[in-house]
Amino acid sequence: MRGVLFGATMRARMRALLWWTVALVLLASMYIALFPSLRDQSSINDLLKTYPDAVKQAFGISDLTSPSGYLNAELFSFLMPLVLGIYSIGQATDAIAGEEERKTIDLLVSHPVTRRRIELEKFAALLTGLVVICVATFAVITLLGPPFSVDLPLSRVAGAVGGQFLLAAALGSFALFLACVTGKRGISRALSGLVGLLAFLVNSAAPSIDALRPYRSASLLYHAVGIDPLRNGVDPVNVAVPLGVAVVLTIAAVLVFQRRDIAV
Amino acid sequence: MISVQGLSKSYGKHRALDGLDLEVKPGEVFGYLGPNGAGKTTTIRLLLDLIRPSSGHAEVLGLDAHADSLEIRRRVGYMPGELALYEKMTGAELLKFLGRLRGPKPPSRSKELSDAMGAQLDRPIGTLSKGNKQKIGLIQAMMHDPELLILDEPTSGLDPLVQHTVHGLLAQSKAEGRTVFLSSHALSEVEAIADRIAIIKDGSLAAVEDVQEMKARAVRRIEVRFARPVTKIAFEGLNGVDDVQITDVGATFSVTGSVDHLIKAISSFEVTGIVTHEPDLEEIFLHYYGDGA
Repeated sequence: MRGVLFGATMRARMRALLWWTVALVLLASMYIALFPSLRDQSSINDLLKTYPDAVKQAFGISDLTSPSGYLNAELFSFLMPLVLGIYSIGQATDAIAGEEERKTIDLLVSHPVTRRRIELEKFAALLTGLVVICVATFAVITLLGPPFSVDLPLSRVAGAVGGQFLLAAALGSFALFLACVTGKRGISRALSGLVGLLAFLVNSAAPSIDALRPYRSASLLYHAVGIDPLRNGVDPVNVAVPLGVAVVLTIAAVLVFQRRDIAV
Repeated sequence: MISVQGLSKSYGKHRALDGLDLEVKPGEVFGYLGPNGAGKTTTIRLLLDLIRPSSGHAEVLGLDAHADSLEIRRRVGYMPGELALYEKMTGAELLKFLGRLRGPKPPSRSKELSDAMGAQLDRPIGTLSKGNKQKIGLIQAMMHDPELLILDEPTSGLDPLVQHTVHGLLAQSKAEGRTVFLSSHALSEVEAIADRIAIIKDGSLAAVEDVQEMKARAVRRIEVRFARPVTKIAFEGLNGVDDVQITDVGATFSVTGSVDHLIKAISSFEVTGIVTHEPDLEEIFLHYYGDGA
């Protein structure tokens, strides 16, 4: 029956989802609350000026005294991609490969449910979880921001958070694909994490390393934060690239899983 | 009900299944026997489209095992050999979840089956013993009233009492016109309920036997005590009677098939006691098919 697996997956993940959401919301609140005191310390920016450009770019630091520069550096460049990435990769690899390793998959697949449905409902549950975390973060920034002088246009915040969602969805679909090919959680997680790290490094290092510069747009992180969405907004291409990656890899994952043997 | 032709499955160089041919008739209880690693689970997983054959063809309920798998799975109840359940769910939650995967209508027989087996449904499955997990595995396989039951080693890990209950439920299923395909590595486990038995060895079929016929053909040892000493000559040439041995207190006979001739022959003497040893199918199989059958 439609939606049964989606519901069961959501219920099973409820606790984990709650903790990740609370963690990110608390961290975001903390950063927002610290902004006024940081902004008033001009010495911080003076100090920053002494940092090499490479370091500043690696951590997405351009200007810590403006709300957009501050959030971009503190939240969107590293912390939020990290939290969403861990959540996404963890669930994506658990969806099929986890069931295979725990050997519960035989029971599931022997019921009258297609493998495509199993995969898509579980992936939909993952995306829903990401939406929950992203919406909570968006709410915190927009509600808690103004009293602490983090006053940003709603559309810009939505664009930045949406970019984070797409980034995590694309990374999740990559992890799902790997897990469907290998049937193994460990290796799929490790490789997905590595690709995430690589994307982070390419996006951060490209501005200061000439040889890397042409490849910056190949990094999914570039499309999510490299473009500085809080300041510049989001172009269609920045949506199309991660969305395309997510769709193609999810379809590939379904095709691979439909064709192969279920591990004993 | 199940029809398999030339079914093979290779993993690299290892041939798990090698040109298997098999026919299971509607309404029968079919015992699928073989030592561990013979290919029993591989066969079953091929029937359910969990894995795909290297060559050959399988039909279940007259439907193609791969192309029509969804319809097959709707009408079949399956219990995996290496049963793994969602450990955090309670038995009741699991049965509800699996029932809903089959459709909006709650499974008709889960209550009746749980009561019959004395399953513990209110505790997380992870805290249950192997036998209690096995019961839940059996309930989920049978609760939606399937036409065909495919059970991979269903009674392993169950105590004799529950094993007996399970045999009773399977006999009931048969009486209701259902077909049962069950695998086992021990003949003693299936001889009580199976109509026919197939022996699989190294990935191919070694034999298919009718249990009643085998038992009829089986050799029985019969010991008879007589009040007075008897001579061997009195029992020679009796139909179906071999290997007559005279002992201090009586005689022992090996009887194939009917014991009628022997009974009539001993009735002319004063008999003080008879002990018959029921034929052990396990021994018969070992005799016919060598080690590991």
